[in-house]
Amino acid sequence: MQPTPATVATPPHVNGQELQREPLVLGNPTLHDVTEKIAGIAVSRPSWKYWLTLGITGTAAAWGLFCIGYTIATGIGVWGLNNPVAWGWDITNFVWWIGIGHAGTLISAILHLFRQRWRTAINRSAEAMTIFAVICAGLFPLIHLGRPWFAYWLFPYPNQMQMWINFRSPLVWDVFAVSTYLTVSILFWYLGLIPDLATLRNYVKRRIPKALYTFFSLGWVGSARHWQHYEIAYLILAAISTPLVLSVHSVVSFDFAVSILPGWHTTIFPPYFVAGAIFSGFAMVLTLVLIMRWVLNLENYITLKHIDNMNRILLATGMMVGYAYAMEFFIAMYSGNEYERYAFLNRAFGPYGWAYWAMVFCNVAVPQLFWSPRLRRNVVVTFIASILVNVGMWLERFVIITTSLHRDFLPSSWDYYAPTWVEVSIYIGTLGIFFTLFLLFAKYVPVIAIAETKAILPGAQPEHHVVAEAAASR
Amino acid sequence: MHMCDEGERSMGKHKLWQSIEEVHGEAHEPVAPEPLLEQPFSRRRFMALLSASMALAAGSAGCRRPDHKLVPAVAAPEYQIPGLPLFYTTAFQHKNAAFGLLVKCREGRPIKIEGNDLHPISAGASTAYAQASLLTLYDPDRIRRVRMGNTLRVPLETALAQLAEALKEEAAAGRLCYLCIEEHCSPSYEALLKALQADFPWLRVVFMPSFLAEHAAAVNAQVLGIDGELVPNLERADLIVTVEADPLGIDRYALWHTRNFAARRRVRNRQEARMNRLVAVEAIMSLTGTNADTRLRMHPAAFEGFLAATLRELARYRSVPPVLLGAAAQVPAAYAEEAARLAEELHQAGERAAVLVGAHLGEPIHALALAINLALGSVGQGKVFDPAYVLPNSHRKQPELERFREELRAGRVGAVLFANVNPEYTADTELRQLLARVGRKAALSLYHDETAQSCWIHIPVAHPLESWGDALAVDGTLSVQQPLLAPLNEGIGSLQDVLIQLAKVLAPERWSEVENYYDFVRRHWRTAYGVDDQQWERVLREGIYRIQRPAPPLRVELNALARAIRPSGLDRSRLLLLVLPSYALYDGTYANCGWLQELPDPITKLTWDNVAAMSPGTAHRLGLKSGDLVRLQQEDGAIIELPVWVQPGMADGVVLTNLGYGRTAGGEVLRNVGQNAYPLLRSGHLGYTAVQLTSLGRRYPLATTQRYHRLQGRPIVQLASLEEYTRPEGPQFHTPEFPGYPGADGRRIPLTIVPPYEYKGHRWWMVIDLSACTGCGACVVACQAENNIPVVGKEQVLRGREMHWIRIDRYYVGPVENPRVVHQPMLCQHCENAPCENVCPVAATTHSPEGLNEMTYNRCVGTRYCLNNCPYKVRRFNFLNYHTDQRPPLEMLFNPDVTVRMRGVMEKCTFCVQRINEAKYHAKDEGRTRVRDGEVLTACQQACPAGAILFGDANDPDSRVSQLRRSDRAYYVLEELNVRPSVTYLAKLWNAPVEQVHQLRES
Amino acid sequence: MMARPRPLAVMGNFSNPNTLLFAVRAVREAGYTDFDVYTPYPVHGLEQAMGLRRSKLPYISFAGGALGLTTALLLQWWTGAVDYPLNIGGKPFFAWEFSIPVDFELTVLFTAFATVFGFLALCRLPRWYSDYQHDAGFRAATDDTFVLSIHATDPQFELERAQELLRSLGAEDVRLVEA
Repeated sequence: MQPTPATVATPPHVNGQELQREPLVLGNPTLHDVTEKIAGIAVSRPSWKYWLTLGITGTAAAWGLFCIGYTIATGIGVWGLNNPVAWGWDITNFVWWIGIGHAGTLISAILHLFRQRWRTAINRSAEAMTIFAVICAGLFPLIHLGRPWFAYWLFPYPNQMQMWINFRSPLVWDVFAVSTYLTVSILFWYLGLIPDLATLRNYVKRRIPKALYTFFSLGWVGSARHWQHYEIAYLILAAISTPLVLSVHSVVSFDFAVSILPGWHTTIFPPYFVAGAIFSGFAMVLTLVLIMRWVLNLENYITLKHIDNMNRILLATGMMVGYAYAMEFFIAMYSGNEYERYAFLNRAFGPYGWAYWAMVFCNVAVPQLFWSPRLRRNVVVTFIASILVNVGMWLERFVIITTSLHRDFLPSSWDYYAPTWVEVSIYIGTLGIFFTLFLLFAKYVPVIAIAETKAILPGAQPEHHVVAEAAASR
Repeated sequence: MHMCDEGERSMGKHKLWQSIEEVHGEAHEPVAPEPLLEQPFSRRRFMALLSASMALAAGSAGCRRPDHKLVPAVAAPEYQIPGLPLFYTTAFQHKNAAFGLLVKCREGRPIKIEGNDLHPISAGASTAYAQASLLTLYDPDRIRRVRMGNTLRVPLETALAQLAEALKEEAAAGRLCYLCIEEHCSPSYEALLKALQADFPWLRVVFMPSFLAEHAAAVNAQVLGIDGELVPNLERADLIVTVEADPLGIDRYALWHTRNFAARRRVRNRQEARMNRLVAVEAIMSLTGTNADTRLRMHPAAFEGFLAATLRELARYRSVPPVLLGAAAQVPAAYAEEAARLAEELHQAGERAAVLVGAHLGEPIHALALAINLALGSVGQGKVFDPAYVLPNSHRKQPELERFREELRAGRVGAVLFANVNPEYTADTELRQLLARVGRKAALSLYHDETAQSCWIHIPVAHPLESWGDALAVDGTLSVQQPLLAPLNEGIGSLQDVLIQLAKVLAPERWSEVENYYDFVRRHWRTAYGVDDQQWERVLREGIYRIQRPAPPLRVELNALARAIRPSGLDRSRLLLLVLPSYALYDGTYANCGWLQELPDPITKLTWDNVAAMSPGTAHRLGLKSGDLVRLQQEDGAIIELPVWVQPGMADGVVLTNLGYGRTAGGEVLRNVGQNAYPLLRSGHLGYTAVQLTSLGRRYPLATTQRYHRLQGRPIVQLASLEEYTRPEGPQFHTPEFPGYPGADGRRIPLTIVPPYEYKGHRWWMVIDLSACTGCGACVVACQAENNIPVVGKEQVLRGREMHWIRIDRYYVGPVENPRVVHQPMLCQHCENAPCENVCPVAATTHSPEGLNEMTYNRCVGTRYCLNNCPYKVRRFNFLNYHTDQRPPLEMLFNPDVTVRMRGVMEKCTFCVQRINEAKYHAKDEGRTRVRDGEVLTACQQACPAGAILFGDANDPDSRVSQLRRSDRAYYVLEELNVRPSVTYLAKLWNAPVEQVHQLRES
Repeated sequence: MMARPRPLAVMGNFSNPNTLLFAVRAVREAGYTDFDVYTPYPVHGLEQAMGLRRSKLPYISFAGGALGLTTALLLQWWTGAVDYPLNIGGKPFFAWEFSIPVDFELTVLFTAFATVFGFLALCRLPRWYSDYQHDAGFRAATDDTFVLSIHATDPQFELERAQELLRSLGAEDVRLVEA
């Protein structure tokens, strides 16, 4: 089929502000260019860069899975956990991954509701990231069990023990929240994919891929009648996903807030955790998108404007998190509760003080760079910052979990916790799994929402006055 | 309030007791023809079971023999009801101290040891050692077959024949045969040895204690004409002054002392608050010191001066013989001020005061103390120091040992038999070298230990729980030691049986009429105490028989006493090393017992190691930290390399280490645990010696179960001085301020949106009296034995994964140089609003209608969330399969009423729910709807010698727990969390001046 | 002998959304009801121009949500307070306070399922075969072409008239699609 130009190359003069506003897509591509560029990835042979990264991440994933097997075969004893500190890296990683898993749905849902059209460049990969992150997160509650082979006991199902689960337990809330979140994210992602898969179906030539795309695109033809339902469905999913995102990390924070431990038992946790989740989520999106931009040459689609916008969000959420740190401390001191006070003094100046201050640096200091517009649009700075933020957010969870556990009420049971090589390997393993899945996604699924991008190209939507004039002139 | 009332303790148990004869149904025949073989059926049946399991394990053909014995007794005896426990009385001997035991047997195997309620020493309580002897019984490392050199599985008969042959040869050659025995208090054993010596002139018997501490005996011999130690009766003392004495700790009668001491400290209420007072003067930090009302930290060189000064001060109030004053004047005074105060106190307490001196301290100190005690009048009939209460076989043993050495040097010893002694481990180099020269050596012991390895013949003897015998307690109570099952070592009898068999081989004509040791004991009791069969049966059932020992008339050799008073010989400028038995392993006899190895030292809370403990000051001066390896060297070059332990409360310039570690042979457990400190004893004597310390610049991991020792100003332990407590306004013990309303039990209920749960029927409750608890740790081992709690080993303890369900938290209060110590037993508080329960996703831990916080093991998936949310951190997680490498016959030890937990499962104290249920079945059988008060005893409560733990029904208004809950000392740990614990703590009282306690509270 | 080809629809391609919108209105004014537009992305105002009724999907979603909430409440109340009541931490067997998180999650979950499956049902998807899929112009609708198609099933369908109309509205490559 011959390429047809998408209207006039430059937007009409009539609505001037279109001229000032920075375009969301650079290089004035035609509709067909968009198809070519993004669908093209699926048929093109991947570069050496791709295979190299895939090799590294695949190895990490395999090693991690081996260590998981070793843990299950021997017992949690191979980890560094002890009597006061019964949760360590396992739950830290769980919360960290879940947090990362927040940006995707957030970008898709909330930005969609707020009509933030720039989201189209990143929402697809962000959603994918969400799903993979939640998969990694879900792994930890599973393997951290003393008897993981009974993990299914956490679900309410009729059984010969005639036992039901305990709905008073935040862990049960977790099970529901995380599994719901995973399911809804997948549905949301897939719904968005359907039209693009249809595009690929009609684009690719080779039989097997074509068959697969045909199957998964469910026979989408782009009928206006379908688009009508589609847009409503997308809107509803966006509407319910938004509170869902907020609820998931609130529920995760309940694991701590609902307990009685000093440093855990605080009402600030839900908003504090959600802010942190968005913070780390956006940081991870940045990391991935910048890599993707480099590996797949998507500079025209993921523009500096997008990076700028995301850095603004980093700055904002980073300061929310900073506020939470300060407020936590203040409340502890103000409460007059000796246990609370000690917990926070110990957090900042105890054996884990190094982690605390590293966290403050990464999460509060680093984002301040983005007050400068120049740095906001500096790819290298952004990349380093995004990684630092993720380190910082990991440390935040580690600090919260470990410092509160290792010194609680009775000094007689105080102890120190350090991970073993097994725990570290498993964490690295999940990073491997995450990036491996993401690379496969980037190769075989449209990494940028084709239909949505087309819809926001200049002049892609009808200007009603033009239509009216045409009608009048007839 | 008397927490362990004998009557109630034993309730519903006496009728269950069985004596052997009753079991035989031959109670009235003179003597059972072959008791050991005619053991009650169940035990032989068990023997068969056991040997079968061993055959599986060891695959040895030698175990088949008992199967045949099984045949004649197929008819199931009616007394043994499967699933119901039987209780037998027996005696426990800890060296030459003894008390009565009550052993619980299930399906013919002993599974739990308790103190005998009727025995005046134990009164139902027991010690960690007694508890642990059960583990020793089933110890897989016990050798089961006679061994000659490298030939194993020698039939006993052959071995005895060869041994007898050898002995005859040596005797013919005019050489002597020595039988080295350990300290004991068994009259029959003594009689047997006498008989043997009478028959075989070439046989010499010598006591070979693992260490010597005889200065007390020496002084008593010279002054009172009593060659032995006088055991004080602390029940009679209002004021106890200990000079590095440890009556509540390593003393062999610690059980009895603790009972007597604590009995005087369980204060009922403000109105009738009376307590004894304990003043500890010491350079080390002893368990007694941690329980002192006033503790004087003093360098050992000052002991003489201090006591001399005290004696002289005492003369201001009461008459002190001038000859003694003269002698005391020779000693330069030390701590005169404290001495003056003490003298006044002593005078006021008069004959109800007593000065106790550590056995390891020198004669002058013992002499001075005796002088003071005599001046106070606390020595004499019915006094604290009763001449009738002489520790059996506590006479001076060095002379005999010296003679033995002489004979060895002279080469006049042809053969040596080691009877349950281990000189290769305990003796000094010279003696070991001398013994090495002896050609014919035979060992009769449980383990193939260091000495047995050096012997030509090693005959495995039966464990005390497998053998007949008797024991005489210091108060003149005799008990019979009954076997509870056939010996696991191929049926070879006890040490005494083997000796008798040997005698039969040597002199059949004279020993033919003695069947075996049972027979011998029985005869001895008939001849010596005129005990007929009825009495005998009663003795077996009750486990006690009182004999009257005429107390020798008290005559005092004042001049001898004066002569013994000398200034200290210790050099203050040198670093002084003191070696004492350890709390856990004592002298090393119990080194292969995992329970004891993992029992935290009551003061350092260390497991699996001995250390060089020194004061913070000394450590600072030497630039050392806990865990630094150092070498200690004596003048004569004796060397030990130990990790440093900085121990608050010790005097500067003193290093303390413990015996019992560094064993090299005799089991799997004892390997590579600590260092052997015996080479540092001076010719076997305990005592201070000068040492050189050099740092090795290496670190060593120390497995302690408590890493932080301060209360951080938290209201966890409530303290008061007796004085301020007795004031009408009194102190209020931890009443946290939070919005709420007063509950039924006087406890404040915080505002809550949840209505409290109604507990009908029983409501199980525990009360722990911090004033009574001395921190001895008997409860910890008792709990471990009752509840099948695994031993996890040093590596896991290092990781902080010890599994004890009850632990004793030890906190230091006050200045680090001389802190005061509080012991707080901590176990699951069975909170009504249990935080652990709320967070369990699978409802594996829930609340019973009787207020128990129950753990459903087979539902647990192991999220460990409950552990995180437990404010007391008393939950224990099976990080690994701690029970998998259980070697037979250890599994026979398991309590069949308690689940053995697998890996990945959480566990914790159950308030001994199995015992509660047993009591409920009883009540049901007797048509009662409720369990009587005191009918349920938790394992920890039953073992506790101090009676500090009480358990009962809080819904019964008259139960003792109900009364104590209302006590004006009652408080709840972390009450402000509104978890509503079911364990009431009674505040700790110190019989010390108010300001002292205030200062402590401030610091 | 092979069957005579049956006319399915008359299609015309558009490349400009404005002309498309104009054309759609005209086709509708011409009285056609059974026609459709195939676009690579949702074109604003198209459904109004086609005169489509609002989607019923929101009602389906709401029903799903309501079902989810009920399920959650019944599950927690029945298992906790009726089937196997256990005293856990002295808390009530069932209380709305602690049921909220699960209530919310199940509501969302059921809503999501209702929405997605409702959408598929309303669109009659999945349907892996389309009558027009052999028409290259039609396939280009997933790439860069707007396809206006007047179906032969329309009551007043007349081949010439329909083709004429589309041409007059500026459609390119006006063609008859046959089975």
